[in-house]
Amino acid sequence: MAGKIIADTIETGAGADISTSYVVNGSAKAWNVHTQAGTYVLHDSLNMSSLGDVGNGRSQFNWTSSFDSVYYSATVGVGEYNIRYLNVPAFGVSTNGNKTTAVLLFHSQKTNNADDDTLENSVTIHGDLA
Amino acid sequence: MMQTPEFKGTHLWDRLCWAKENLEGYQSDYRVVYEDSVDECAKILVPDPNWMAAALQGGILPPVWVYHELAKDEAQEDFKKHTRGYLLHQTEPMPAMSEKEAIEYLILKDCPQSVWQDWDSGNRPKMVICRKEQLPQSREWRNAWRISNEIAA
Repeated sequence: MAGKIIADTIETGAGADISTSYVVNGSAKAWNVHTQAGTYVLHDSLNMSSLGDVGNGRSQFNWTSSFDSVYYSATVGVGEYNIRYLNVPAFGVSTNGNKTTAVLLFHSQKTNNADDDTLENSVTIHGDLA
Repeated sequence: MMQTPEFKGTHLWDRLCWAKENLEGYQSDYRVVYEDSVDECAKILVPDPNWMAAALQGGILPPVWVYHELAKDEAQEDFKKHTRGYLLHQTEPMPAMSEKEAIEYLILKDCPQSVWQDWDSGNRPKMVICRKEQLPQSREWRNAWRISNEIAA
């Protein structure tokens, strides 16, 4: 069944009205799940044009709908099946000159603080679009 | 084939959400290998399957010059926020592309300009389009990968 709801505001149970744009703007604007080992594979995503394999444990995300500034938020996860990393900076997103409104560089690390390929990496981005 | 709605002035993100909902992702076998620094290893571009489906479908993605305009704005010293984001949303979307045209578009969008502007001016190319099977099967020494000298420009 197809349908459409048009509403400017949503009323909470406590009786407060919030704008629907508040809800829409709070949704994730980009995400992906990718594998670094072997030939990089981009399993699924939203709002990406390509994935860059830019070195051991290093991925580059190229966005299709750019962000309005570089201050968007990235939540990332790194994992391999049945492996639990201990004492690990297991993930990282670089902001050192490698983050623009259209590009984000991602590093994954294991236990030795060196960039290393991992099997399943996920990234979710919140922020305002240009 | 599903018909793309006539997106006029529709926010690009909304168009991408329509594509995600309605189009089957397309995993391209093509990869773009490029070198943008003598001090760094070769980099490899993997096309996004949802983006590729949108490119093949047509009527969704903006022309690539829009990204170049936004990149120019961002390169300004006093850049804080984009003020010309409307270019992404209000410019007439691209018609359907072939896979080859989509890869060419992707090169212009996601490879550094310094690479694609004179990719074949040296003794060997700075950029190569290949099939994923042609890449090394082992990632040993990944940070030392370079484009082979045996590939003629």
